[in-house]
Amino acid sequence: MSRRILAPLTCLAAAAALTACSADGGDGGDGLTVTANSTDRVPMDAVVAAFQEANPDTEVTVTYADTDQLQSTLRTQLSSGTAPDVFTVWPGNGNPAAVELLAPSGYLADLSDMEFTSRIPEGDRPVTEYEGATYVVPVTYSGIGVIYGKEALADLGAEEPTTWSELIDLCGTARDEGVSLLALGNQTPWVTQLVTYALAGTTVYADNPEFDEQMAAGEAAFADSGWQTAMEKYLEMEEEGCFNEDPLGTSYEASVSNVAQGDAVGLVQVATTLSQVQSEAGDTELGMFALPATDDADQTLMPGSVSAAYGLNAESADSAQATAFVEFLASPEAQDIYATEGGTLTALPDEDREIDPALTTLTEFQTEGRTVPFMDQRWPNPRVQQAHFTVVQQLFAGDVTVEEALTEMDEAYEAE
Amino acid sequence: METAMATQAQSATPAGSKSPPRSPKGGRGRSGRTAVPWWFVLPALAFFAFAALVPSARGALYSFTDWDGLARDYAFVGLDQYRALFSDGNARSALGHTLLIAFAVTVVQNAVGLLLALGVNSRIKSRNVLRVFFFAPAVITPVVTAYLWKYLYSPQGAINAALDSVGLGAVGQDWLGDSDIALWSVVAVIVWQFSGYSMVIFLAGLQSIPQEIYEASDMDGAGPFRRFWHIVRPMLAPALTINLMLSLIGGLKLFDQVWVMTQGGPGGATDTLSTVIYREAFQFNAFAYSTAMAVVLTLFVIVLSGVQYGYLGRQEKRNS
Amino acid sequence: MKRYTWRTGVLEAVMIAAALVFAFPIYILAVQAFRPATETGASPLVPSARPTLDNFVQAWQQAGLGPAILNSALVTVGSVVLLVVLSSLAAYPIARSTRGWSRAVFALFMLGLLLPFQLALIPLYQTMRDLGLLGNPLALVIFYTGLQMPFSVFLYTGFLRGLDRGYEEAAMMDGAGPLRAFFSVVLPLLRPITGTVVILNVIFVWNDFLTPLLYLSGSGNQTIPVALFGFVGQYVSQWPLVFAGLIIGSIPVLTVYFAMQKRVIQGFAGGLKG
Repeated sequence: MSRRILAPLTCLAAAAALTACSADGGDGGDGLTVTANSTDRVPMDAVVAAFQEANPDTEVTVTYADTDQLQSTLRTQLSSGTAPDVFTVWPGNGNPAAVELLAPSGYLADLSDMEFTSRIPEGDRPVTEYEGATYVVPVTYSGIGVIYGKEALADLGAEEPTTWSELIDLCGTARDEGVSLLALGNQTPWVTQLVTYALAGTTVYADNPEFDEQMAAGEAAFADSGWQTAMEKYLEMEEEGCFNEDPLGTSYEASVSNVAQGDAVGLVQVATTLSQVQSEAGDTELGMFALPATDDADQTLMPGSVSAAYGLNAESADSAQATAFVEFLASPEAQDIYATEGGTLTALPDEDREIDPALTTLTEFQTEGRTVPFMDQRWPNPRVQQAHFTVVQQLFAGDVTVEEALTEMDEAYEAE
Repeated sequence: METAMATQAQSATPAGSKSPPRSPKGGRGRSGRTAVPWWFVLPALAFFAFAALVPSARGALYSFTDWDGLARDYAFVGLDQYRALFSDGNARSALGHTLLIAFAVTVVQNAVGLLLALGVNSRIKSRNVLRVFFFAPAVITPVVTAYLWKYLYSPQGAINAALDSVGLGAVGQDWLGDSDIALWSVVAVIVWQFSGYSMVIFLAGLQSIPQEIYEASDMDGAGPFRRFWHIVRPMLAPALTINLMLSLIGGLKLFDQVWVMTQGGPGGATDTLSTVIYREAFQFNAFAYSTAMAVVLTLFVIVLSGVQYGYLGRQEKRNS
Repeated sequence: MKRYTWRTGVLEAVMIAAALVFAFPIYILAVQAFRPATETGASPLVPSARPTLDNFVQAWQQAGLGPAILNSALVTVGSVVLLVVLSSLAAYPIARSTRGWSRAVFALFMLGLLLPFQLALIPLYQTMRDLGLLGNPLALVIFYTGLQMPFSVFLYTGFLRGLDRGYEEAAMMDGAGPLRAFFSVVLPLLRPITGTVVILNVIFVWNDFLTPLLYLSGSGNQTIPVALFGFVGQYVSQWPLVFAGLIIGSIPVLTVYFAMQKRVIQGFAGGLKG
């Protein structure tokens, strides 16, 4: 008996002392390691399959994790020198694993010499660069708008609203029909920001395209800016019954289900969610329109920005396989696969690509230059976004006023 | 099984001695004769030190630095992080929530656990099945149960639907969305998951009460409540101590369930020290600050559980 | 012995009602998991008229649960075997000696129960990196063995203190060395509490999430919770599919529990006698 129990013990002692039995660590071996968000599993798997077809000798291991887990493991791995070769990096700033947080510490390889950098649209460059050098390969382009079921909207006898008044009227029409116009899952923190962004796109930037620069220079603040209007309109939508009941008890998942099951006509979401809704709703035809915030339809701007982007580990910069994979991600083939499988747009424009009809509005806004970057990508630290989540929930709970909420965000903006 | 065990033990005793030697009641006094080698603790201590003690101490050291969790170097800043902690409103409200959760969980989980234990320790026919049943939630991954409850708690979810179907629709709530209720909804999940755990420990305590004592009290004509108070309660003291300690520690360190269900929301209403620590460490570039909070949390756990342990210990002594 | 009176009947009814309330969430989990994907908008309370196993098949295939179960099993068995052997061995002198060092060691172990996980997370990760153990399930075995040692020592010590020492003294008088006496006499006597230690540690190790995510990331080795939550993240709102995956991931640990449930209660009971 004793021998049987002691056997694994001795084995372990030996292993710990000599690391004899140890398999290759995270960074060892000749395989290529990639980490991506679990929402990107389908497109990334398809891209990896295509890459391996062209490079049968390279073994690619992809790890998927939720945003939270992804950010925490990635930071730990980077600071410990064990990060994967290629990994998800959030464009711009304002996020724990964003370009402007990772690049200054030297964890990201400089990609400026790669061919694809010349193909990045002018407007998207700021969020892929740090101090003039490119650090990520942008893969998808996404926007925030109202994703809706075409049939459900037609059932209300309505068309896509283009002004604020039309939108509010439509909320009432939907209510009368026993459905809500927009599903809202504000229990899930990241969902809380989408309506504010969609409204602030117009209320802040239509009149003042320089707002971000003024904020950075300390000449503007959230308080007393277009953000105030955006927040007030957000709450007005709630009062006018645009959303489902109890948004704070409704999760992102439940909000998607609401639309798929016809309890809501649509929801304010990132374009990436289209495929999520589609997969649950079946054959329903979906569309997307920009959320109007004023009564002048021409003023409406849509938040649109690079969404998925990947960085190359600085320590893998010499690896031919890793650089080959990054270059492949920038290739029209990979961009097309990724966007098609994920139901989004390519980040690097491709004239010949056929576009999902639901995304035509977003492409129109993109080509007309009527988009503004996602606001958090321009914020100096991740606390602002978190503060935004918290105050929107507090506003919906009636615990704070709009003024208090914006002060809170201003304080987070000023924090280290 | 029991018989097999006894046989095995017996076969190891000297040949010829048919019954195992019984040590007299005062056997404890003879411990000098059978000294157990102290080095038996070394392997366990080595693993424990390697995986918990040493890294925790090293982790605590970060609280005296300014490391952001990412940069390649850092500087020592003394007690700055602790000073910042005192003026942090979020941390203070999270501490309040943590204490409230720990207190509520400790009280309710043990009350429910005790009632369940008394119930399944009775003559009811279903007692064996029910024991298995009540403990089952404790077996499932907390992240799984939290995910399930998030679904149950949704406004159109199963709980409101069930209340509706029995005519109690008016009691329905926005369980996790209402900032006045959310904290209690979280407590309810913990109670649901771990009452069975408390039950098992209480049950063990109840079963260690000799049958004769019950029978004696029956002959005295003691009612069930008097019997519980004067006989069962004192005998349950060790079980109560373990239960209160485990639930208090668990409540103070609570993380998984809150993170999956609310991430501290709505609007910070369910933030606990653990969720705030996690956010500071991995989302806010403030690793050193988060370790300062973790050190403070550790001190809270040590002090509170120490006070509780001391108090319960005195109670136990008084009872025996 | 008391007989089954009408009062017992009332109590039985009350307890069964309580059990139904406890089972309600599990019932909902099952109802959803067996619901065909095409059936939407139904009340969450009513089981589908056409229950299906499709969700389970799909969850199994898409979440890569097969290899993950193997990894989880490897890590769990390795950690629990080490925990049982080493913690019982350590608890033995702690329970038998009343000297100062024994109380100090016990207190040190109890300190381990109180430490929050956030403190040790990153330093230990760096140590594992230096040992070249990242991506290797062995890292998890070492981690869990150390982390769960305090609770296991605590349970064994309590049980040992209440255990009659007649057998072991006889064995030692017989001339057996202390180690042999421990493994041939004491450890078998500890069987009831070993059941408790095994089940509680299996539950913990099997269910832990953040550590395997961190330590095995990028190695292609996943454990059940990690595989499950990658899967949940991907199929966000497809509840039937997600719930089927959650059920599959919980079955192994539930099986161990049902197989050992008697031991759990007995073991605790033994531990409390002291």
